[in-house]
Amino acid sequence: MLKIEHLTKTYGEKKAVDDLSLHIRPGEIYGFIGHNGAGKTTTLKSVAGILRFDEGEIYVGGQWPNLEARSIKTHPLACKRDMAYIPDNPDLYDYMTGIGFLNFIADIFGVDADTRASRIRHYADAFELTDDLAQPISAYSHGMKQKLAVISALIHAPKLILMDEPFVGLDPVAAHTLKGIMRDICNQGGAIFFSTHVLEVAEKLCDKVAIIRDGRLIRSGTMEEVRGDSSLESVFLELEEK
Amino acid sequence: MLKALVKKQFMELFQSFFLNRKTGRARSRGAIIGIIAGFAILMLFLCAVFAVLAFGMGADLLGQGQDWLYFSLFSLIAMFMGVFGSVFNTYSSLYAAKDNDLLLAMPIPPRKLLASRLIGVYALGLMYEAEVMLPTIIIYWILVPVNAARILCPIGLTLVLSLFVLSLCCILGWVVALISARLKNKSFITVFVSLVFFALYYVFIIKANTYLQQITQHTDEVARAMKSWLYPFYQMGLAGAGSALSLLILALIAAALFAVIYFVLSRTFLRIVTVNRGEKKAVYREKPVKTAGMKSALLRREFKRFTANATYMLNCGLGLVMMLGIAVLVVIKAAQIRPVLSRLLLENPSFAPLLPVILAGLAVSIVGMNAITAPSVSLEGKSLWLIQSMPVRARDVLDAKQMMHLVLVLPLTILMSLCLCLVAQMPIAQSVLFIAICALSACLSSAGGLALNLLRPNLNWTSEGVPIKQSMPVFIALFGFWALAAAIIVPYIFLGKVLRPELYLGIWCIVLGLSVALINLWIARRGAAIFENL
Repeated sequence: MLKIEHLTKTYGEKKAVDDLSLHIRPGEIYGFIGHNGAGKTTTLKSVAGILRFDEGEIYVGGQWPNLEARSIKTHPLACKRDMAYIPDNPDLYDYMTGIGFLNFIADIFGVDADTRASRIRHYADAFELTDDLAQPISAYSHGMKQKLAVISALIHAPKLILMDEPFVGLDPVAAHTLKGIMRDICNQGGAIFFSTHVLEVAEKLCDKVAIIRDGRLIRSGTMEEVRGDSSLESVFLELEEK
Repeated sequence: MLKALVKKQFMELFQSFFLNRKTGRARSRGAIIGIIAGFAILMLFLCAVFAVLAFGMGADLLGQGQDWLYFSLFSLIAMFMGVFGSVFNTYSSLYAAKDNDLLLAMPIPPRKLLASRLIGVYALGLMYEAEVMLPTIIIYWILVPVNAARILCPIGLTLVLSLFVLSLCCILGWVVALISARLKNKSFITVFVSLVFFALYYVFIIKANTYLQQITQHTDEVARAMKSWLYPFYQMGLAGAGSALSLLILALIAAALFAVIYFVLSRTFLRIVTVNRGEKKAVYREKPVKTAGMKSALLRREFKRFTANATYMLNCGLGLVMMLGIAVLVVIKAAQIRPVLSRLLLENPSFAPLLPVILAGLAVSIVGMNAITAPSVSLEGKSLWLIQSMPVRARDVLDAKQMMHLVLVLPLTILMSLCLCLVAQMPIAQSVLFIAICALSACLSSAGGLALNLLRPNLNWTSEGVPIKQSMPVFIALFGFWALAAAIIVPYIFLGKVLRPELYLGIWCIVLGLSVALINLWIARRGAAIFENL
């Protein structure tokens, strides 16, 4: 579903991401862990096609394992059609209403009227946002914007979802709902690649996890492979201290 | 505590002197000196304008011994300036201050918070009022022999007026807060109110000379009207002219009025700033959705952004109103305009070929007042990630920006140019070329504005006003068309003897058409790549 090969991104002198390679298969929830400034957001933005990278390749979608046909560099639109990206700070269009925004996203992705109506109903109810959909986004709280960003990401049923700290700002009920939705998507053959600082969430939710430090991938694999007999927190702290 | 609060209030008032709102960073010492000097020059200029006005009226009124009328009229202007200048500041600093929650959470007595806010409002009102009263008093001292009463009473009047201004600002600011909280289409109403103010301002400027003449020619009638209809201003006039009794009465009234307002505000301040009486929450009801294609969704997005932002509409779309106004005006006044033009052409036959060229230049400068695309890239701001993460080509996004500009500007451009052609009775060939030049100018302002913004984008703003009002692309897009107008008109003054206007206008059509094509080619190739990499 997602194949990152030797990704390198430099800001001036600093290498934000250094020769990073990751493979995410359909059905996997892949956690991405690292300290602030480790390169998580840069990686996610590069995959989402928002950021140009210096070296390496990113392949999205297609039939596994023949992913090479859809490089984000050469086929950005085709890749983006299969993906959704939720940033850590959901700066949405404040001049639109919630429902106006969802319809805009659905129009861009070409979601037909019936499908979008049913998806909006389903997800807005699940996140308890239905009553606020007619409100302008400028009147939304951070959490409500986060919920709207999540719903907008789900509206075209993407195969791959990229999430940057998706649980920040969500209330416990919404966080629980989102975890359920993430699992459902992966059960249906989708994949999720998300960054988080909440190691307990990663430990419970992820099938695989990657730890990044100073732009370099220092450990990755299934949860069992990465943490061994200890907790993810101990492994992470141990790796950070090295 | 009060001192600290007042200090904060003044820092807020004058923060733009010290802080660059574009970058959020402190200004350099040189920039601070430059901005303060610029502000002082502006204030002095306004004082000079009122000094000229005071001198003109004072020479007549004071000569007739109508000292009180002189002060009455200037008290009226000063109060208008004071209230008009600071009522919106009252609204934002007293009733809708962003730090109300922060400060109320601290152990600060609300009355101290209120007092600090009122001191800020008072200072701003006094500053605007003094712009009128200072030159009024100085000119008065120059024109009449001075004594103690004539020195002290006008100064006393200025201070009394400032209390009235403060009270009126508190009342009107509260009304603004009330209306603003309940309004739904705030942006459209703001645009409408601003346009009404613009219209009134221009009517006042145009008619000011007539009004002044009427006042100085009919002083007795004006004085009678003042006494019967604007009695408080009559008393203000007397106070300014040296009546200590009038000054005392006014001071007591001003103090009593302010005391009542302060009492009411101190009792209700907490409720005012903490109760959200905002507009009713819109209830969502699921309706059948009309789906749209990707391109029309992008176009709708641009329209929503434009119509949701009064600052954007007023600063970058004022030309739309001007074009409609000109079209309507020339049609309504056609019967008066045509004889004037005929006489002009009869008396100066050499002017005939110049007319379509001059009109083309003027029309182009009006068309250029629409800089809708010029801040459109910057306005993406922090939400740029959304469009960049969607499966849309950068070219389609940029096309939507241009399309909105053209949908809004082109029909009105054609309407205005058609009306001008009809009223000026241009021959068909000239008319076609004239309309083509105007239409191509609209295309140029669309493509040129967008290209400029792609070259100089500013995505890191905290207020939408920054990319609209403090932006080089908008400035160049707006004022570049004055240069274009000059480039169209001036050469023909010399070339008119050898080139027929049709040929000259035709050449400009080709120049403008080529410019539009080249800029669009650049946008498609280089501009789209710039947008993708922002």
